[in-house]
Amino acid sequence: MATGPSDEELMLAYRAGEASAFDALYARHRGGVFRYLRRQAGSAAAAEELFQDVWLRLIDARGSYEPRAKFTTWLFTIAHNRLMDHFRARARAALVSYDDHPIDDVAADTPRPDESLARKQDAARLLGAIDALPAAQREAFLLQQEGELSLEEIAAVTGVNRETAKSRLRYAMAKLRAELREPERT
Amino acid sequence: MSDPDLRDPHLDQAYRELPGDEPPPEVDERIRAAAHRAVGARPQSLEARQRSWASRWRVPLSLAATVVLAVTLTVMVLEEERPAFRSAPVFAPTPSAPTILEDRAPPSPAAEEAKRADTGPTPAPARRAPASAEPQPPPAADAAVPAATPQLQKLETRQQPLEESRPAPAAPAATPAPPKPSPLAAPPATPSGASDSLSRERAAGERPARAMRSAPQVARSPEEWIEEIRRLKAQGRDADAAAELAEFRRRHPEYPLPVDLAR
Repeated sequence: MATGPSDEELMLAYRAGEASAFDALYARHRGGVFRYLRRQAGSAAAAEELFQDVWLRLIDARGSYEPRAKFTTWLFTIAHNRLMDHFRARARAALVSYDDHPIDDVAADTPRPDESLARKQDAARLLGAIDALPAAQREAFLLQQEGELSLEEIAAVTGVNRETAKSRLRYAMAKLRAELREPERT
Repeated sequence: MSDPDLRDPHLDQAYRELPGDEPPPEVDERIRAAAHRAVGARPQSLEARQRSWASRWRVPLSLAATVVLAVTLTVMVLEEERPAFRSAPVFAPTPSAPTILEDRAPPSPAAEEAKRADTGPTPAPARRAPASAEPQPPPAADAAVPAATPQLQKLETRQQPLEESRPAPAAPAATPAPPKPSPLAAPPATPSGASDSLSRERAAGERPARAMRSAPQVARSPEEWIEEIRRLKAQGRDADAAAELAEFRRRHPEYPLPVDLAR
């Protein structure tokens, strides 16, 4: 977590007209939001379009922002809603393809070839497992990882109760853990 | 996360090692530009903002410093010039004025000799101007000089005879400058005999005989002079009173005469 002003303070400052506060907020969350969208939208082009829309919606809605909840909850709610719009418009299941993201690009700081290969294999398996998750479970897992949201916050973003969110997340993690352990068993 | 079962460090670590997808720079730029446009500002870094603060205030601060410097220098120059005015003798239209004129324009050697003969052992301080004429820096000094200039020029020619004709008062008195003459104040009506005598003497450029015999003129206030004239009239010395009055009118043309003397 970045030091300095909180997300909520920065958003209030931006709402008051301080443009630099937006720059700080954007720098903090651009990566997480983009990956959240990128791993669900299915293509890089769609993710970029969604990403831009999400931030433009935030800019437009700055006047109505109230720090009643965490800023990231608000931000990922906007992203979730935009993603749902995208799914509805494309009438497409949220099946994400990572074909244009070769796994070879993954780990850059790996010292040993066998270790590097193992990591690449782990990353490839994990990405495949994430891609194979049901959309709701995948979203719950991505909100946990990219947005660092709690169960309650995930439930709030996705519009379900806490138990539903918990169930989705539990299933997602179980599948991913199983996928990561799979080579050990074989 | 409240439920520890829903956090797996191994899974978290594996996820963090995934490719760090990020938005392209052009998308970043578009979003930031939109955000800044929305609040009426251009996108810029914090460093650039600090720089822009300095550049925004550079011109006004420079102008303010220039104005302060210019005003300070002007005041300093005026302050340096002011002692020249202060050191100049201050003229006030009082009986002491001729004495001041002596300082400014020394009389010719012949006149000085005649004066010495007439004045005799009168001590110099007695002939000096009262306090108001001392070369001190009163605030009104600057204004008094130009106001007195025409009178100064007229009196310069009569300075020496006046010194000789004036009776010596008991003690010099510091008097303020008399008020300006009222336009309604009638010219003094002197007795016809004295008036004739005065006009004749003036035409000849000489002093009246009695005035010549009187004590040397020293500084005295117009009020004291008026009282002296009244005293002369009360003693029946009408001619002397008329002469004194005529001299008074010449020395203090701006002084409004009392009603009893104006008749």
